[in-house]
Amino acid sequence: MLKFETIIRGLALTALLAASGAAAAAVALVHTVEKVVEVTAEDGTVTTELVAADSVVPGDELRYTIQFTNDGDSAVDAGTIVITNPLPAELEYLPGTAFGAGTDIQFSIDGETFAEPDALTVVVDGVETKAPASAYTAIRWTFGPALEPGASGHVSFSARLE
Amino acid sequence: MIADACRYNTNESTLDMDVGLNRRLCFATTVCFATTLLLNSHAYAVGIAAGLDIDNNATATYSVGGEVQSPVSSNAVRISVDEILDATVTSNDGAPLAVTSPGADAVLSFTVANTGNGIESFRLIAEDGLGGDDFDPTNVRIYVESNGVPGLQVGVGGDIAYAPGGEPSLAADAVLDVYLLADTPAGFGAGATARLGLRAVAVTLAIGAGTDDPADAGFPQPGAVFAGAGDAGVDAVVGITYQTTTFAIRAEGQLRVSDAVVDIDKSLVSVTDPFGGATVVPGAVLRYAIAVTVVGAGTVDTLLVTDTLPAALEFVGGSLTSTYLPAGQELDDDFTPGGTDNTGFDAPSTTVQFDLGSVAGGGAPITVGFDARIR
Repeated sequence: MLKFETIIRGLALTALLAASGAAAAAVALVHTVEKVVEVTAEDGTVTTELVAADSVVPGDELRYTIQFTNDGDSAVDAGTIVITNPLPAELEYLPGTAFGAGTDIQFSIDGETFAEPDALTVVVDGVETKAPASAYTAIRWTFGPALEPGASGHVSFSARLE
Repeated sequence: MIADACRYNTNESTLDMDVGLNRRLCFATTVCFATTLLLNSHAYAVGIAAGLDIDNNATATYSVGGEVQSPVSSNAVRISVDEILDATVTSNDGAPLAVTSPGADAVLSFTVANTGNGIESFRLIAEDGLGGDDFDPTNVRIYVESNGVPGLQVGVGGDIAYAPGGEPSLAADAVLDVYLLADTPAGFGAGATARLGLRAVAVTLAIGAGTDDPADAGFPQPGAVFAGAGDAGVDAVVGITYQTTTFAIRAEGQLRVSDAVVDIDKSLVSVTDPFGGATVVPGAVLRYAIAVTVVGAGTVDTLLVTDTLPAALEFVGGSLTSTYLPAGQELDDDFTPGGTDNTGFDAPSTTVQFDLGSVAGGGAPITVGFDARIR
């Protein structure tokens, strides 16, 4: 009897996964973008607000957010979710803006090797110096905890349109 | 000291002196006296071109139960680059332009730069009724540089007069020289000044008289969006150069009435080819004349006429002539820069120069001349 139930449940799960067409893709990513604008209040104080990125011109600051969700029914292993965002060439990363709760954040100059900002260098006139944020071509977040089914998190960064 | 240039075909003259210069309207087929322009000397940062779509996406890898799963991709999030409308106008005149009262056809020079990220046409507006000065220039006309010869030339082969409907189009980061011609009314004494401004407004803004002045209520403010009006149908956004406090889309020059101003007029007197004819061929000798006239009741001092020969021309020794020469100057070829005899030909800089010293206004034109051979 127990064995029979297990088989039925297994068949049902197989059918569900087949219907969704995403048998292994338990983690889903949703990418959004907003524009960062400065708003000056009547008393002269300046605050920043996020608005829809419907109208973007060179010099504008953009805030990208990537939400990751475990859509499966098993926990994702701790320390294994690695999100990588190559930067479009037209965007310049703004230093200190990458964020992600529970994540280690690393950057890349060549798009392949990733490291903390202090460990990234470029060679200028034969001298190895710390790489400026404008030299980054990709950002990578490594999420530390396990991600339970239905749980989600998000990472984000800002860049300026050149 | 002001250094200006007179350009005629491949040849140019300059005139240095310690009073302002009167640049006069002249004809492309004869001689021109025009401003030396700092062409393309500005560095502008041009942004990503209007109309471009930029996609951004992310990927993730992860493991479940110790097994590495297939990587997943996010949706691509897209931004479309709108057209930013920005421009700068700068004056190329470092000092007020000396004019006579009355006087005609003084030329002020400006450079218009498209600092936006799209192709844009610009309405040009002369501001000739400004306050804070002594008189208003009259008969103000606008010309745009169009024949490739620096400075203003009018007539056949000359620069084009600007008129609404003929707004010049500039690619992103492109620059264009624009000239304002103006007359000075009679009755103003030495030192009287007039302000004369130039404003460049993007045609995309579709604004005209009544809305194109920063004092107008409808004048667009930075950040204003003109839906679908930009390149490739993207939105057009008014840029920071329209900020009326700084107002980079306008600049102004100044006219100042002087007791004595200098007119310079260069002409090609004759061509003598090696065969006794008048064809312009290698070996032909060109006779140039430069007429210098001091207009007004005052006197100009340290008047120095210089003419740098282009590489294609070779100075003919012993050919200097002048209808007037002050004491100490000699019409021989050699000269002593900064010394007594400042008249002659300087081979290293291929420059002919005449030191006319102090010249009182109202006299007959002084005509200097020299020969040059086509190499």
